[in-house]
Amino acid sequence: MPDVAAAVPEGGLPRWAANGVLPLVNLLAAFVVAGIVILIIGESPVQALLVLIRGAFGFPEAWGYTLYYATNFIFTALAVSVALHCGLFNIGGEGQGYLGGLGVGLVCLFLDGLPLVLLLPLAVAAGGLFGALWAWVPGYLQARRGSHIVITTIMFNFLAATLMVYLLVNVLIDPGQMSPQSRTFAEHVRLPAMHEVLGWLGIAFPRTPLNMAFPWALVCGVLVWIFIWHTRWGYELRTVGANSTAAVYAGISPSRNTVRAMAISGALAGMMGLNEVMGVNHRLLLNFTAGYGFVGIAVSLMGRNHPLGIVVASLLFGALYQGGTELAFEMPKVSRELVVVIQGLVILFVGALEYLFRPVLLPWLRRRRRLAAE
Amino acid sequence: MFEDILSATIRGATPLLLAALGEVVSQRAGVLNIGIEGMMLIGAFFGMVGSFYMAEFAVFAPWFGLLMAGLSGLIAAALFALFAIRFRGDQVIIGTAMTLLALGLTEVIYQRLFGVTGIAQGVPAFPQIDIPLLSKIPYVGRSLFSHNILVYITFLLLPCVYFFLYHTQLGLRIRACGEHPKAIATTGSNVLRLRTFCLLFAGAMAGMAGAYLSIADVPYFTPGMTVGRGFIALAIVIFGKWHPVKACGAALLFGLGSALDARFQALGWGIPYQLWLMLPYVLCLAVMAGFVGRAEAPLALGKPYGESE
Repeated sequence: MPDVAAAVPEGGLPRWAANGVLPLVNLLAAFVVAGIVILIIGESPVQALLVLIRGAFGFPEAWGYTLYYATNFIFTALAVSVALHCGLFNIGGEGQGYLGGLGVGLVCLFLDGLPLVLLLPLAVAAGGLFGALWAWVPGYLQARRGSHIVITTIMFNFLAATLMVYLLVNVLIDPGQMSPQSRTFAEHVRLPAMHEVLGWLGIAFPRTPLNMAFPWALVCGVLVWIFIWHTRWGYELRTVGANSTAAVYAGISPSRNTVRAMAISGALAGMMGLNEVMGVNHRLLLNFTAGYGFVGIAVSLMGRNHPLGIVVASLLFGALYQGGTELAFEMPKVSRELVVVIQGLVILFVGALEYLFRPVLLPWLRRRRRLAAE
Repeated sequence: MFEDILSATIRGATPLLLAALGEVVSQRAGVLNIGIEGMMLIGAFFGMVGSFYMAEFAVFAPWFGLLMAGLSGLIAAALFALFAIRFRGDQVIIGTAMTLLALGLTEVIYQRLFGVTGIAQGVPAFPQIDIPLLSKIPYVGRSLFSHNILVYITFLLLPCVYFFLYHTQLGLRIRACGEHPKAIATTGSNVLRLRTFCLLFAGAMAGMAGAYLSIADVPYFTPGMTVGRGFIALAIVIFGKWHPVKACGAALLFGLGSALDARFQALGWGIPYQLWLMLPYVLCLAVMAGFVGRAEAPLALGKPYGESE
C-alpha cells in the first residue's frame, strides 16, 4: 500500500512556509494552468477571475451560497483527512455522503411524527451511521483481505449510485411525481436556514441554501481536531498512518485502526448528506452529492489535513463553486466543469509539486534570512 | 443464447483487457497507475474527436480516432510520469488527480466543441468484420470471429505482451525493475527511463481502450462514459496476478459478468434492472476480497525511485 501520509512531508521548511506559502504556490500554479485552459477556450482569464471573485463574494446572497458549498466541503474534507492520518486514501466520500443522505432522508420521511428536537439528533445519527457503514466495508476489506482501498471505495461509489436509483425509482418515489424523488418532508422537518436563524436575532440576511449545518461543520472540525491530536484513539490512528510496522511493536493494531478510521471518515462524509437533504432539498432526490465527495480530497490535501486548514480551503473551494456558477452564466463558453479541472490540478500540484517547489523555496528563504541578519 | 452471451463476453472484455495489458506492464515495472480511468476517458474523448473531424475519409476516420486516442493517453501518461517518476510524487494522489482532470477537461472541451446537447452523435466507428471461413464455424464461429477490428487486435496483443515480458531481455529488466529497482540499476539500466517507457505504453493502451468505448462499442462520447472500467482494469491486474494471460482470464470473467447482466436485465425475473447494474461492481469487490495476494505484487510497486538510493 502506498505511503500516502508521507506525500505531505514537513522537513526542510519552516512551519509558516510549509502551511502557508506552499498551499498558496500550489493554488497559484493551478490557477495559472486553468487560466491557460480559459485562454485556449477563447475567453480572457483576467476577466474570468474577476467574474469569479464578484460571483463568490460580491453580494450577500453570494456569501450565503459560498458558505453553503463550503459546508459540504468541510464535511467531506474532514472525512478524507481522518482516513489520511491513518495512511488510507478514502476516495469514497461521494458514496458515503450519498448513503448518509439516505439515512437522514429515511429518518425525516418515516419519523416525522416526532418534534424537531428529537428528530434532529436522530437524523444526525442516521446520517453518520449510514455513511460509516458504507466506509466500514472497504475498511474491513482493506484490513482483513488486503483489498486496495482506492479501488474498493470507488466501487462503493458506483454501488451507492445504483442503489439510490433503485430506491428512488422503485421504493421511495412520491407517487404523484414523474421524476424519481421522494415526497417533500413535513413542514417542521428541516434544518433551520441561516436567514431564519439570523432573522430571529434581528439580523437581515438574504434567502440562501445556507443552514445550520454550517455551524455543525465547524463543530465537527473542532471535534476532529480534538480526536486526532488529543485522544488515545487519535494517537493510535496517527501512529498506524506514520508507520504501521512500528505501530505493531507498540501494541497498536493496524487493522483495527484501519476499520475505525474508515468508519469515522464515512460518518463525517455522511454529514454532507445532512446539509443537502435536511438543510436544502427537504426531500430525497438523485445525485445531490454532485461531486462534493471528490472535492473533499483536494480540500483536505490543500488544508494539509488539519481542520483549520480545511475550513480555510473549504471557503476557497466554496468560492470557486459559487463563482464558477456565475462564470458559466456570464461566459457561456466556459462550462462549470472547469471547477473540476481546477480541483484536479490542485490535487496534482499538492501531490507532486511540493517536491518541485520546495527546492526553489528553500534557498530563497535562506537568502532572505541571511539578508535579514546582515 | 449461448452464442450471444459468448459474443457479448468478448465485447465486454476487450476494453478491460486492452487497458489491463498496459497496466500489467507498468505495474511490473513498479508504477501503480491509478490514473488509468482518466487515461481511458481521455482516450474515449479524443478517439471520438479524431473520428468526427476525419469523417470525410470514411473508413480511415476511426483509425485516425484510434491514433488520437493512443496519443492522448500517451501524453496523459507522460504527465503522470513527469509528476510520479521525475518529481517522485505519490502515485495514488497523482492518479486520482489525473482521473479528476480527465473528467473535467473532457467535459469542458466537449461542451466547447459540441455544445451541451452534443452534435457528435454517430461518428464513424469501426465496422464489424466477419472473418471468412472462421466465422462460419458452427456454434462458436459467429461469437468469436464476428467483431470489430479492435477486438482482434486486443487478443493478438495478448501473446505479444506475454512474449515481451517473459521472453525478452527488456521484459526481464522491466520485471526486475518492479521487484528490486536498485539491483537493476547496478547492472547499468536506467530505472527511471524503464519505468517511464512502461508508463507511456500503459497510457497508450488505456487511451485505445477508451477509443474502443467511443468509436467501436458505440459511435459517440458521453461525459464520464468509462464508468469505472479503468478501476475494474486495475482489479483485473490484481486478480490476474500481474500476469497478462491470467489477466485475460479475469477480463473475460468481467466480460461475462456484463454479458449476463444485460441478459438478466432482459429476462427480468422480477428483479429491478438497477440491481443488475450493480453486478460488475459487486463482482469486482468479490474478486478483490477473495484474493489475498499482496505477497505476489511486485515488491517495489508504488514506491518512487530516487537517484540517491
